[in-house]
Amino acid sequence: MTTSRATLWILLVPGVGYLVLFFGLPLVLALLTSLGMGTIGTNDGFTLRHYAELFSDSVYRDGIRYSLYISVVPTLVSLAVALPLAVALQSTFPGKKLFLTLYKVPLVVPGIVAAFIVMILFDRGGEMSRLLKPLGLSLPKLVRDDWSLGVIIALAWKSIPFMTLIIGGALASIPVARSLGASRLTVFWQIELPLSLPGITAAVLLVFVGSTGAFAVPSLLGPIYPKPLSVWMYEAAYQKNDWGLATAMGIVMSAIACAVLLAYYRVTHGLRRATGGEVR
Amino acid sequence: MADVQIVGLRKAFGPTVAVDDFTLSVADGEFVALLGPSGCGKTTVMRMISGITDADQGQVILSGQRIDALMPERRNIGLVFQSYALFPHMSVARNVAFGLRMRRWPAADIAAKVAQTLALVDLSGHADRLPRELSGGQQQRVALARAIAIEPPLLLLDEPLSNLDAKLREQLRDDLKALQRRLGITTIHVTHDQSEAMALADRVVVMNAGAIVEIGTPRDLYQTPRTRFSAEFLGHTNVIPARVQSGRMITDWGQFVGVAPTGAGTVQLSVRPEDLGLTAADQGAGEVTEVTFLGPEVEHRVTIGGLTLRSRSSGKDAVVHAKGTRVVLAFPSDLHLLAEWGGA
Repeated sequence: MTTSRATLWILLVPGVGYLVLFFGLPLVLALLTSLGMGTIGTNDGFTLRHYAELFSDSVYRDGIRYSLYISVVPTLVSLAVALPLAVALQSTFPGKKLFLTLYKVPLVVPGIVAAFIVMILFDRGGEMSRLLKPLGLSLPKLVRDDWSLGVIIALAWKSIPFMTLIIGGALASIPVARSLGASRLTVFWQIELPLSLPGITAAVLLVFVGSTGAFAVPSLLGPIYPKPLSVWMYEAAYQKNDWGLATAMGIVMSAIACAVLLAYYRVTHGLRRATGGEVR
Repeated sequence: MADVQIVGLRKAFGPTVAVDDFTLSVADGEFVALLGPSGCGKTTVMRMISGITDADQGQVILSGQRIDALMPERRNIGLVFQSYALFPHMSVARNVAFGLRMRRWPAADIAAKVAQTLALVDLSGHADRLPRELSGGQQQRVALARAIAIEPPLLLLDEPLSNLDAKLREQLRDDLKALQRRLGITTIHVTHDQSEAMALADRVVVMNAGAIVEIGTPRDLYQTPRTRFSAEFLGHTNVIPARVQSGRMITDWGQFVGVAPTGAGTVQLSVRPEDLGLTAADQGAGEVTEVTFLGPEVEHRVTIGGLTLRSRSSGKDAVVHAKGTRVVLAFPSDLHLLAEWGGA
């Protein structure tokens, strides 16, 4: 009995140890630093000063709001494109093989390169406006614009293939549904969508979390103000050497991501219940 | 009346012709089995009838109406797959009700029909279960119930019993047959299992390499197959060549086996192992090379005139010859000649 328990602990060490060492420990250290008890930066005892500063300064409040904006909107845009795309890719069409290769290209393009692509294409005086000029058309402002359209385009462009891949893998086609009298659309709503909900959940969460911490894309394509928390975090740590504030921002960002994950799980869980789906 | 006319159906996948010139007519209430080895195109035929796969050429006419251009959901055909293909996120009752909901039946009628259909397949107590909570046999009965609930004029079954173990398969086979006879529903059943085809079908369509080899009742196909392919696919057979000499058929080892119905040349006899008798004889032309006890039967393998033949005798009183025994063969009085004996 005791030996088997000892064996169990030993077997758990690599996996759990890894998590503790490379995920748990940094998180705890960051939390301590943000509470003024850190090993990096100043250490002047327990304080909620950094959090107070974060939530009282409108610059940072706008930062939190903006961070949420540039994670929620690109995720929704990606979902709106990826879901129909994944369904369409179920059927065969000429040139499908080529398309299946090409649509995955953004997966291997780094975020900063994607940002530059969007900048070159859509900035004032960029390729698109040059092409459209002879036609008497002009693009709205897409780079450093108030709505951060450029940021949304770049982030969505990056995550659409990723989402399509995951959702496509989760889509289950049951051809018998058609023979029972269901139209293509009904099959999607009543069979494919509920069955692929776990895959959609996973894809949405991963894209959301990825966008929350996006740094290169919003700093290149985003407006001068507001800036996302990720950019403020960089400035606090490296320009003001205020590690307490930087780690507090990191903790808040992580907390937001966790909160959104939990909320999303609750919603999809309820949805699956409503459609009578099994919970995976 | 729900008869089916299938005319010149063809399907190619790239350069591979899966089905070519498939023509078949199925009478109202008839049970037809498409029988063939895997890859012979039988499933493709079924998918084309149901509309899951588009045919390149040909027509499908159900009760006098062409349905081959219709979307699958407008064809009104009941489908059952080997993999059950149940909706995993719906209860048994909702699975069965699905087709009726699509047809916008009133809720009360749906409930009544679902209850009636589940009773028919003996699953009344399982209406609220999820498919994964059922055994394989029960799942397949749900799939069957879902298919017949919509009262389709035509039922297509694609290897519906192949995922089940032997005992259950036999039981479900009997249930399926009884149900089909009771409902009088025209049925096309795809299978690679010859005993299943023979037990279930009024007529069996033997397929090979995308084409129909032969069509007949199970009895005709078994006892008087036209082709060597169907003779060998439906159970075991001994194909024995014989010369015709002045109206008499003589085997290679010089045994007179019967009077030839046709002129001269060579004929191929198809003799089932159970019709081929053995008698021990010191000077016999054959030699027993293997004896296998199969339970209900004893099988002897005999080499004779360069051929290896099987002979089976059944029952407790079956004579068992030891390996190495010299034997003579006893042919049945009613010999069957193959009309086509090329190929397999």
